[in-house]
Amino acid sequence: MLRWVGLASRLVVGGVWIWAGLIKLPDPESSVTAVRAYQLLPSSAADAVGRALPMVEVVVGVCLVLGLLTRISAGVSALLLLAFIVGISSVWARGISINCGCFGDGGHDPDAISRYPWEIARDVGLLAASLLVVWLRRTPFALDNVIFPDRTEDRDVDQEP
Amino acid sequence: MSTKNRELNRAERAKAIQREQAAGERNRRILITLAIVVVLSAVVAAGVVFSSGGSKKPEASSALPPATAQGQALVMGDNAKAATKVVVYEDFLCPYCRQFETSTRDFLQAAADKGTVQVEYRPFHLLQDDYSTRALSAWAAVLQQGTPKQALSYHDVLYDKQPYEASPDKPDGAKLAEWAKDSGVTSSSVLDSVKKADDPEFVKAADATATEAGVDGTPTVLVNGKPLEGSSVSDMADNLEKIVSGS
Repeated sequence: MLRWVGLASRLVVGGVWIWAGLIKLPDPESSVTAVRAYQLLPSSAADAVGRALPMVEVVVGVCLVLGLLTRISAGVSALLLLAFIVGISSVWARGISINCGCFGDGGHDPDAISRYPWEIARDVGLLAASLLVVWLRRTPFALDNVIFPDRTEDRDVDQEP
Repeated sequence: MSTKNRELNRAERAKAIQREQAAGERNRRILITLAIVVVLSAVVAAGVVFSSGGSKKPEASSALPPATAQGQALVMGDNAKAATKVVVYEDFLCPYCRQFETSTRDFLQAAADKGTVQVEYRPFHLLQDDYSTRALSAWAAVLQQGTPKQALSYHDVLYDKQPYEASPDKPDGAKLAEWAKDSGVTSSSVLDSVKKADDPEFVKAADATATEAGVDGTPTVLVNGKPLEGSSVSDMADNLEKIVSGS
């Protein structure tokens, strides 16, 4: 049963990453603006992160949906989400009102603060789903199952007296 | 006894073979994993380069549209009869202005090149911070002593490299001069003025023009004399792009 929850988590989290990345991909300048708006990274680093992030999101999303290097991808997904949660909490604590830029169009937005709790809740949910996939190791319908066939049979042989 | 020994040996040998196979299998998996990681990293790198149109360097001034200096303003586009005239009041430290600049620059430059749009950039000092006047004075030096194209390029660079509004150590005169060099300013006397970055006369005059026009926030953008509408900066940029592509 849990395997199927794992599959659902993989597809939902992967789908969200692909969606979020594709929206941002055509407009790298807007992505840089979104990262800068957090005022966390030195501005040159914010520039690089802003340009790289959309593509990283798409690739992580595709890997999760296909089930390619599932554990590593889910781990990267969890780390990114953790960074986003820290970022949003940090602007919230500092009273900076910005659009989180999660799905494009970042930058200053006067009514953004009321949305922070819901954005953090959403990211915590996605983080939990990512961690479930990391913990499960194997989920149905994953490319990994073809490239790295399960070794449980070998282990069974080992364990036979 | 001896049969038992033989059986034991056989079992050990089988185990050794299994161990070897397991090790081989592990190596194979590590190699495949590494190969996939390398391919994916290459995909990310290619995507980044592709989406940002190669590495972004300050435009060579030859690639920029024609420009002229008019008092404290820089006018981009040489068609005085352009269908769309845009006036931009902005502060070099204002992050909204940076967002407006980076999201409108490409289509405004292209339209100014074609002669359908003329843009008047009117930087002034709004934010109560030394960097705001320092950057404005540095830009004034390039506008008044350098060429208009250098001033246009420097204007873009100042926004690209804009420090955070809350940053405790914002760029000093030396840094501003370095950026001016990146924008194509070569004359050492101009660079010296940029480095001094102190031109209260210019700042006062630019501020007076903005106050006279009733500007109390940045960016304030006028299109053919009317304020550009928009619920957010990206909305403003989208609206401006629609107007410009229609002209």
